[in-house]
Amino acid sequence: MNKDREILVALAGNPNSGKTSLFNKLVGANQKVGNWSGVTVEKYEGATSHKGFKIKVIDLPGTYSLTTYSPEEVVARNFLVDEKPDVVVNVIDATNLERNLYLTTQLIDIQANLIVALNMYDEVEDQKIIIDHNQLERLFGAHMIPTSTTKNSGIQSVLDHIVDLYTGAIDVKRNKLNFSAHLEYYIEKMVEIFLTDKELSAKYLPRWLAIKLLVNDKAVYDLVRDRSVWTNVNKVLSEAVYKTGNEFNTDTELMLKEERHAFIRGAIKETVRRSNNRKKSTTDLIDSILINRITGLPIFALFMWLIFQLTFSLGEAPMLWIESAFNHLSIYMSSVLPDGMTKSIIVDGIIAGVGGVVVFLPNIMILFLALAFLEGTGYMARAAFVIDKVMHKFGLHGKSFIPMITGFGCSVPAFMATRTLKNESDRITTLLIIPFMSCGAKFPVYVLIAGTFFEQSMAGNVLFGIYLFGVIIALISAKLLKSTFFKGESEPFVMELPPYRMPSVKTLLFQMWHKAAIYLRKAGTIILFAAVLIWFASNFPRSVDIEKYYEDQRLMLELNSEYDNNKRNELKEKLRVKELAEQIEYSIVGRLGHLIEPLVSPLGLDWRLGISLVTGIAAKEIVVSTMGTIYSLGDIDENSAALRERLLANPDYNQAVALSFMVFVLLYIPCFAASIVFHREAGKWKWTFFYIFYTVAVAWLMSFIVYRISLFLLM
Amino acid sequence: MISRLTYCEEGFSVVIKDLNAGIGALQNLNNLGLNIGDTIKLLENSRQEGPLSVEFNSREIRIGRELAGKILIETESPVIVTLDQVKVGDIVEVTKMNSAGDIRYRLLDMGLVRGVKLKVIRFAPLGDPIEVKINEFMLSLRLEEARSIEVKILEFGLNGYRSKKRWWTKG
Repeated sequence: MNKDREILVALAGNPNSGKTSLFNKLVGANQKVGNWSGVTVEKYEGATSHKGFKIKVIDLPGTYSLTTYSPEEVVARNFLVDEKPDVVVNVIDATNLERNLYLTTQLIDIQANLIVALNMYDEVEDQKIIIDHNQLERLFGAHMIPTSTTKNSGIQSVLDHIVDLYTGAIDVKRNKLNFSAHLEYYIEKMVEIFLTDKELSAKYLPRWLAIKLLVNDKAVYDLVRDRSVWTNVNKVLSEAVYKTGNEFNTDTELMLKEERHAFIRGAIKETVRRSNNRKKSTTDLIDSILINRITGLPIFALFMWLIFQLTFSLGEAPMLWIESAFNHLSIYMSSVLPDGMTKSIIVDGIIAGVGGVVVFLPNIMILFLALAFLEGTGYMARAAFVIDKVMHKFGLHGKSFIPMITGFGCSVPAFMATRTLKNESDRITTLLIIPFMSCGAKFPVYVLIAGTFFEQSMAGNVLFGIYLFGVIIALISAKLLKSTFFKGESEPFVMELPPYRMPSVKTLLFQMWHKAAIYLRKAGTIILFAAVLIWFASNFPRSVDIEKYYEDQRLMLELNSEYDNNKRNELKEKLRVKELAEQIEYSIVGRLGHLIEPLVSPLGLDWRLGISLVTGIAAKEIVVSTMGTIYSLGDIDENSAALRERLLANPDYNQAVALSFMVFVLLYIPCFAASIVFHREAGKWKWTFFYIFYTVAVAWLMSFIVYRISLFLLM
Repeated sequence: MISRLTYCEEGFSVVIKDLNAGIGALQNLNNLGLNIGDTIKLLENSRQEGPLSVEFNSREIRIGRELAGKILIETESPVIVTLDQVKVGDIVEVTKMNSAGDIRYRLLDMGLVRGVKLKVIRFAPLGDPIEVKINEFMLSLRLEEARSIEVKILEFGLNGYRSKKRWWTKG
């Protein structure tokens, strides 16, 4: 296809304006999700063809404005200003023109080839609001097209307009927003100076630069302050600031924004008629139940409980299917492949490693379906509204709550759920405390250890105590991080509570699938590599002596005629397991266990527990099975009586050691898959290193304290 | 116009006009030694939390913030308060923005400019944040942030308050 016939279109609009639904309607399933470079903001792009043109659509993140307040705004603005898309479709919620048109005025400032989609027009008609679009078109200088994604109307018209605007079949409407004479005087003066800088004015609209300087836009200031024209521009700017303060008793930013709002208010007064007898809206009605003073909290708790239950209980069955599918695959591969290294690497390395990652897929899909539903209906903002006071006490945002409770199930989806937090410091803080919310995979470890070292009546309390301890550490950490690293960087809680709406099933499924796809892509690459690495570390180097010794033993067994076949097989299995135990002690992992013994011995842990902790970095499920291997018990689970006996028989182990070990498992790095996801969500290596250091340091310190105190109390 | 005791400036003398509450609150007021029709002088009003202190018959009386919010008084000057002090149902007009930095950007972009009218919809179940209706949409913000916004009260949301006569009061 001819490159000239590709039209680059950007969708811009407020959050909750139905932008994503319109995007789905425009491009259908032909879309992909990625990341905007450098920031953890998702980038949706898709393509469609219309009248022989290929139309490439970029769905910009939803923003209320084009300042540089949040990463979303920076991304949207840079794309619009730097990439200069051929057509910009501004999607606005037509039931709420006052706020939505604010962004439109800023799109006018950058002289975008603008089409305005008056979205949710069916609701406008339902509410008997009459909008005079012709007049609105004249005032804003943009084509206005009524659309409705639920009624599927106006979509074709938007496509027609895109093509016609591109080919010049219809005129690009332009209008500039005129400010008061006072401001215009300074804007024009600055424009004149900017025009003398050919390079700058070719790249950026001088008028836009001038307006942005008047509202103290830091990014624009950084753009122009090194130019030679800056001295002259600055003179005009200073005069504007001084005169505005002196004559109008206000500042330029306030004045400009007030005029912008005044323009919108005037335009609406002129073009919109609302019917007078408005009855209580459905949203008001639902809100009076869902977030009222008495029922608000219990309903919130119920919803959170439901999400958790759905994610982890409903997810359990498919998880088991995936597990057994991978089991079958590894059994099949074992039977097909010849014995040796290749078999081991495929079965124990790759299949086990990737299986351990794919197994989280049902959780991720259910959780993100539920979250997309809450977000789509509008309850998510209410959830943050209800719980914000508690979270704010610890320096967190109301929206941190959902990722935190998800952490009780699994850190992987919990990390991914932090995307709802727009402010970087809030998001990083939440990411860093999620590992302390004890995840489901750690549970078997507690069951084994608490069940072994504590009486049945106490074990439950110990278990509960461990979970509670994790929450307390998480909250203290949040407070600590917020008062050191992120001092004063809390996101202000200024949030729209959007009207309740029923999201379309298609949109929900798309969002769920995107999350799953992102996760699977990771599983296929880095995690596969890591799985092989971990396999290597626990299998190499191999001791030839040990191998030879057991080879001889097996040979002797074969030659020994005392045993019948059954007995022989039983002894063979014992030998295999014993060999495994000795080989793992000889391997890199085993050596690491010995190497870190001096580090963990102050916590009362020996090299055996040390090895378990090392393998636990791969996945917490492995902790128990590693113990089984070390104690030469073969494949066992947490209820194995044999392992319990062996643990109790060790004179170095006692309740204090048990507590110390559990606390360490609770607090240190979650599994490898989670760490990869952490890195993806945090976006910077600095945070990944800090996360490793911080969780391990906290785990060590707390284990030490718990060990010493319990030694003192229990002995 | 009618105003609330909590909105009052320190140092002013005002007459208790009525109570926007049930008989229980009236009894509480009587227990403090006050009644409808009394003239009191406001000594202390922290504007945010804690009880208010008033002078009546050269005696200092402390009134809890909850009760004081229900005491209606007559005032001539327009009532200017910060947005964290308003009550559910009040309709107010923004007169000044004292916030700075990111929050200022965000509030201005959301349309919280001078002259805009807000209706107080509700407080969160735990008392913070607050939800207001602005230009046809619902906005929530923390009291901490609302504190930097000055508003003029246009209409009091006197829930259920209709007549000055109560059937249970004598006369």
